[in-house]
Amino acid sequence: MKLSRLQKREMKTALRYIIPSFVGFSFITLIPLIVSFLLVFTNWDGSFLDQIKITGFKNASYILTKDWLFWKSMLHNVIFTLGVVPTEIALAIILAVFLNDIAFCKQTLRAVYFIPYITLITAITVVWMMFFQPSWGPINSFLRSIGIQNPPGWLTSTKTSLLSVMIVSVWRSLGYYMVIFLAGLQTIPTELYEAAEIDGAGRVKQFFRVTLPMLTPIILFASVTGVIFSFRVFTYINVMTRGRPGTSSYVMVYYLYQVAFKDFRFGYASTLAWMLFIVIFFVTIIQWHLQKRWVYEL
Amino acid sequence: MKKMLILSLLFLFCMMIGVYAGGAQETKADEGEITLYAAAGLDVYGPAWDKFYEKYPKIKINHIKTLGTGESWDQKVTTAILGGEDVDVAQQNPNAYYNLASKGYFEDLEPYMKRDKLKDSDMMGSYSEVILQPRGKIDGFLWEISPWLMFYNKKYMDDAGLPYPELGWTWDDFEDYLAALTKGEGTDKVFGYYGHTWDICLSLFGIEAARGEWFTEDGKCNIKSPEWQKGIKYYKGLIDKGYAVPIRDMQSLKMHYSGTFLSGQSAMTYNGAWVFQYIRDKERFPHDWTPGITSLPIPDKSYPKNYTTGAPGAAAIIKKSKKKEIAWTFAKYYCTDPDNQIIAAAQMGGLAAYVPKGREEELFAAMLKDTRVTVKNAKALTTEWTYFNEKPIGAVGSVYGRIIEEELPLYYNGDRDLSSTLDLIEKRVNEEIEKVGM
Repeated sequence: MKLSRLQKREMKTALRYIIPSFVGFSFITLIPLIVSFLLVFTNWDGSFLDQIKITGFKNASYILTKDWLFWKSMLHNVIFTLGVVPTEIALAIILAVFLNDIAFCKQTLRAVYFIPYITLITAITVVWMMFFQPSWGPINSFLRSIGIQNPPGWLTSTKTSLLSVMIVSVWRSLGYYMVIFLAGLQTIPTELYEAAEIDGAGRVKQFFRVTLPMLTPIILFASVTGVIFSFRVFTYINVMTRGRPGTSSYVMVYYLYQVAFKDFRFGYASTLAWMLFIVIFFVTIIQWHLQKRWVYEL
Repeated sequence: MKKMLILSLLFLFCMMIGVYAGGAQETKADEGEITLYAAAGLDVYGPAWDKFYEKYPKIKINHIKTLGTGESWDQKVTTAILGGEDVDVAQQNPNAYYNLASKGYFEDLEPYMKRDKLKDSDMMGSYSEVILQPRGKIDGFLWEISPWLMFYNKKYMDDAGLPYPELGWTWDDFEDYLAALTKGEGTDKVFGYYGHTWDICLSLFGIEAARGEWFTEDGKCNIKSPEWQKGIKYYKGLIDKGYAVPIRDMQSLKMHYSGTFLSGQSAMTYNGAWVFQYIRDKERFPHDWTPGITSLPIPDKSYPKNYTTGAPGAAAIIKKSKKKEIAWTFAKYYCTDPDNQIIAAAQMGGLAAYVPKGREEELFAAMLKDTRVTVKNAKALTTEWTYFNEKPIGAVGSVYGRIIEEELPLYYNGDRDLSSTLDLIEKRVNEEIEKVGM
């Protein structure tokens, strides 16, 4: 299609605005992305560039067939996601509905619940590590006081290390999702509640028949972003457990960080990163397609 | 549009010129500035560099401390070198050094040594094979040796009526001491011994019993040998009897050897000679009792009397450095000037890499200054020691250590039996060995 002079001029103007941003994007994102993709097919370990060997699909093949720690880390990510995302969404909705209904201290309570989200993760994790201390920490001291003689080891036990991190993650993110759902509740037309009341629906029925369906677009947003964040969890693990005890709290991003920056096997780490990308991509696609079945649109 | 394109190309061209023309050209050997990465800062090495400046007033050392509050100082150095940062000389831990030396990141020092008529032992003391291992070339020079010592609280010893331990004391003696020194319960408990969560601390008695053999003859993981198992079971026994601080508590409370020992929570701790600088730091670690030092207890009398761990720390001139001659001047001074070693060791608390002949007593006096630690026989604890490597050195060295840190605590904490734990460690380490060069 031949462009008119005006269209060409407009195109040039648009390019002038886009190019600086695109140059920055290229250097910071696009080029590293391409390089990391190329590294997937090499065994680069930090040696000089002329010593890089092309290994083809060897990295991917090893990961898929022999790397049990990859599968274990991936499983932990799935457990983390399935445990954290629904819990934080459910609790956030309940909290939002509660805050929406109360007439006093609304702003204060909203701020109080949001504070953990804006606090440094490292500060939060250090405090929670004291809470989880198995011998003298307040949680186990309380459990012993109510008669539980063998309370969990929390961060020092293979059975509860991942659960401990999940608890902290839910606690911290609660405020963020609560604020989002609170905003969503403001968009629900009050006429719907009036109509439901006239039809004889009680508070509980109104919640399930009006509030929840109207919140489904926001629940979709929260679940998609929640799943992506869960698969990318790293800071909690790096500070609280470092993947331990044993490998009981290894997750994908922590594993690839170890391989890249402790073992300096950049080719292998790039392959792990792209595997993670593929998994998150497909999970997001599935979520997006399934939305037609349950997301309500006015 | 044409104007934009020309301007952009011009800009890019100027940038490229700047990149290729940038950086200082090689200068004279005794004039200029070098960037040095070292674990400790100027508070430790300042006096040593002041002496250096007296001899080389036209050389400036841009000293960058790499050791932070975290434990991955070697990772910081390695990342800086791999990333092409402006580093001329860098001190590293043995595995980081091995890793980078084997990839050819360091300058071969042999031509310089030949030119200046220096022998291997001038640059490496008696540890030449450690430095030479990666490529069969002299890729670095010896920075320091840090022997590990058993530090003990003399007041607790006196209160328990125990004589101070002598060289050649055994594991049985050690256990008797711990039984007598452990007292109290709960938060007031004083443990006989504090280890630490590092790989060497977790595997200490195992690797000692195995006489430093991290690998089998065919290069595989050696952790299932009878000697290793004996040592690991011994340490577990100490923990189960309540004599040694449980690993679970060390991990969950992020305990530190210097704080725990110097606050009186443990009567003994085994760690590197760098503990002297903490003993000296009365502000951070107030204590009014006198520490003592002795050797690691040996499994039985068939082992050398003064058997201890330690690792030679290496430094290297970076191949990409544009100031190699100045860096060589510094390296040569560092290795061959006898006063430098005394000063550096005194500040750091580590054993000098090159003990000037006949000056051992002077060296120890400098190391122990302001610590109230006295030593009867300086020579025995320094120059006449038999050491086993604190880390497995090689292509899988650091990952081997990490696997031990991940898996061995599960046995010590009672979460897994010995057989499964060692099977898993062996399996994981051998998998990593297979991946080398993949």
